[in-house]
Amino acid sequence: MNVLSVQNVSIQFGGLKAVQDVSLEVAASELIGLIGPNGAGKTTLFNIITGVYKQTSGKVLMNGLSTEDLTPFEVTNKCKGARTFQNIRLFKDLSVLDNVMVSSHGQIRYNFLSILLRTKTYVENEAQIEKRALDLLKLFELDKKANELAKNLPYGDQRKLEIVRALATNPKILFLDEPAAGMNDEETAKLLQLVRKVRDDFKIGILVIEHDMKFMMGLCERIYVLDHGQLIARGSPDEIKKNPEVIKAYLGEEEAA
Amino acid sequence: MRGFITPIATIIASTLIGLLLMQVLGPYHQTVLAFVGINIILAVSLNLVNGFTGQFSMGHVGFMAVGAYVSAWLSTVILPQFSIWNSCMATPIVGQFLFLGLIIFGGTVSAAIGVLVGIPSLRLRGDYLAIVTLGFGEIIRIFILNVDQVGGARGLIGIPDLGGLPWILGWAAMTCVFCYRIVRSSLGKQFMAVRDDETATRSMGLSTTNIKVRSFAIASFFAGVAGVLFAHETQYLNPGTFTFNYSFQIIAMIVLGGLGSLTGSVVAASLLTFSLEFLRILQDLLGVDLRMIIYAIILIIIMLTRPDGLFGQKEIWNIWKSKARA
Amino acid sequence: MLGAVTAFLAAPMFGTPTEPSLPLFLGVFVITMLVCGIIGYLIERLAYRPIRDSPRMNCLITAIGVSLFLQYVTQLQIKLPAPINLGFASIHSFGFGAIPQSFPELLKKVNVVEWTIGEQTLTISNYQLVILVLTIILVLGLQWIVFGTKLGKGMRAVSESTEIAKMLGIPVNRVIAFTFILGSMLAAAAAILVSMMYPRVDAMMGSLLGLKAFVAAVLGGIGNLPGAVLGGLLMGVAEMMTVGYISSDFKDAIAFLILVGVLLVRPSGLLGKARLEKV
Repeated sequence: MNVLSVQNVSIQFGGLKAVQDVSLEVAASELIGLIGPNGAGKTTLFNIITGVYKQTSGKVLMNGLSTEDLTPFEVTNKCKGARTFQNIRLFKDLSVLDNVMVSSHGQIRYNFLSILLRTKTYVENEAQIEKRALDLLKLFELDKKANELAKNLPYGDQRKLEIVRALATNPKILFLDEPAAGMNDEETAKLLQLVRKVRDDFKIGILVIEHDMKFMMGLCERIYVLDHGQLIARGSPDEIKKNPEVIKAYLGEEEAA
Repeated sequence: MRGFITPIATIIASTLIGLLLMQVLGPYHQTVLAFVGINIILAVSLNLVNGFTGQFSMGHVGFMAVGAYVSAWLSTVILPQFSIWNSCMATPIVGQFLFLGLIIFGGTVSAAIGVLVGIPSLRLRGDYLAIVTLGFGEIIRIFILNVDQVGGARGLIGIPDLGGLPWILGWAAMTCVFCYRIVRSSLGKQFMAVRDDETATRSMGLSTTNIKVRSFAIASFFAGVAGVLFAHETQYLNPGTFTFNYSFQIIAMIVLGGLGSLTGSVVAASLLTFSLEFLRILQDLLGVDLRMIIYAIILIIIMLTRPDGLFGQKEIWNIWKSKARA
Repeated sequence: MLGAVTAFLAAPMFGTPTEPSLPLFLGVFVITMLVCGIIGYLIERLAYRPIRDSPRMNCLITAIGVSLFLQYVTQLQIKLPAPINLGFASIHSFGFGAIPQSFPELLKKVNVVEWTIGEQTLTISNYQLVILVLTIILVLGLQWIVFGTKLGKGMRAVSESTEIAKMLGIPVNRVIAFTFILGSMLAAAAAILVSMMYPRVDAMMGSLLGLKAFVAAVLGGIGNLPGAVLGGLLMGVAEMMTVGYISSDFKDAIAFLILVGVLLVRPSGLLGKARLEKV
């Protein structure tokens, strides 16, 4: 069963058809890319998939469940899909460690009294969560900065922290919205390795939006191309590179991958 | 259990201090200190909602009124009808336990009302939430105004004299300890996450409405506690006390102290309560009520010059640590 | 409150004792609106502009602080030990004072319509007509300013995003100042109209009304002018019906109850548009 199945999804804002009849599939442990010129509707599609927007028509199935009437937090908890954001939305006034720990709390419920009295169960559970959070941070080389405030991190680290935070929710599919934005070549190459490692170690499906073609061609197994809200091409990176429709859509932005 | 040590130590310490102060201070100074304690409870609990969770609640004393009137009504109108209540109240130790029961009951009712009010309101965005909470505060007050059994506009007199400084200081200290523990716990982090970015919080699998309602309920509980203590300290209740003006004073306290700082709320509550009393002396001297004018001017100046408040988002030990490093 | 107090203080300038007449009415109206406009400008300039970029809570606190300041300063009455003689008048004291005063009669009250239906008589006075007509004129005028003029477009742009408005070259400071002047002038006009029907002037008047105005605006949908009118009308009617059919005790509570009820069903207000957050 595909971990994500988007079927003929459309959304309309007043007169603007932001997404028209888009379908895509992500199988377990697949690395899939979503590209397209600015304004093509990629982030809008993400928002529909994760329950932030409600589609005008079409269906989204995540891990077998329809996201139709689910709120974003239900999508994360029930369908096990987590995301990062195009404009970084970290918890700025919380520490790096806290950012990750908060995400683990969606799965734990504490008795209120145990917080007040700091019972053994509470203390032990929190210690466990903290250890797991630190392990995740170590993977991304952020563990040394665990106690720094998220807003004080350099930009590249903030982007990485967003990914760690999403991973802490134990997802089966990860949605990354422009994770390499603002990174230089070296950082981007490192990120590529990291994302692949995440897929290999955690065995989750990953759907990525990015503009950096080298990154996408190197990372993704399959790519979907969106333009003006419509799907204009799909296939392997090689097929996409040679597709005339794709080249036309990117006219003026040609990048030899 | 380790977790019990601090609360018990706090209760013992503050009770002893309270008893000591009762011997040393005259009745006027005791009353002022009592009001400081009550305002501390109100300010610290409101800071949970407005400061840490970032929600605009403007009706906090409405919940104080609920606690106050529930306890007053029970102890003045209902329960004295039962001789067993009267005999228990006369007994020293049992009487204290009954008072504790009243406090917890009053707080719980306030918390329940808080949940009732919070569930529909907390879905709303900032400005809307502010107005609605303000409205609820007024609705509660007007409702109380029209219940004859608790005196209506004339007020309720003859509330038993229970509590006093040991109780008030004890609860003020407990509120600080408990709120501090909440703020440092996973729940506290969820509060701050909601404050920083609701959308992201939702996307991380947390129900923001749930978190907001919980902060509201906790704050309302302590507001109710403050109400009960207030009722039995002044022994007279009048709905005119629980107006938006009072809610506003509490908001001013937490903004002055710093919205993310519990220490700040304690300091600001103490400072402002003391200064209002001091200004009252000034008023007697000059014959003109300049209190509210000076209060308003001070507030505006603080807003213009140091909007983060005295402590910003830090607690007192953060400041000591950074001073020690330097 | 400032409008009513200003009008109260301005009326005697047209001659004491004040004879109700149309020129008096218009004169007081204009002067009051001007004075309040100036006060509104000063408040914005001194207290609000410096903290414009601060978090909302701070702005709210400051606004309430200003409101309290105005109320209690108006209540102040410093009695001079010896009156200052200016020739045409002597000043005994500064300030309005804490005692409620009676609003002067600006127009002669005339019953324009008297319908007798069986036992009941319905009267409509010229006061009510004047209020109705002036309200319509002012609201239409406001609509025109906000939607039909460049300044109005500036107002709407700033309300969407101050940053971008600045970048587009809109004189943000001027627009905001103008908005406050306009708002204060309209409040002054409302003050006179209200005082005609309820001639009691005191320093604390209007705070409950101000709150209900807020509620009416939220009820109708923030940012929506016809919505605010609708909200105000609804609340006014509901209040009067409550007084008539239930009891006058709950008059003030009904406004909030309506608000809560509406917001539960339509979180953006009656005519408000649900704003979709761009993620």
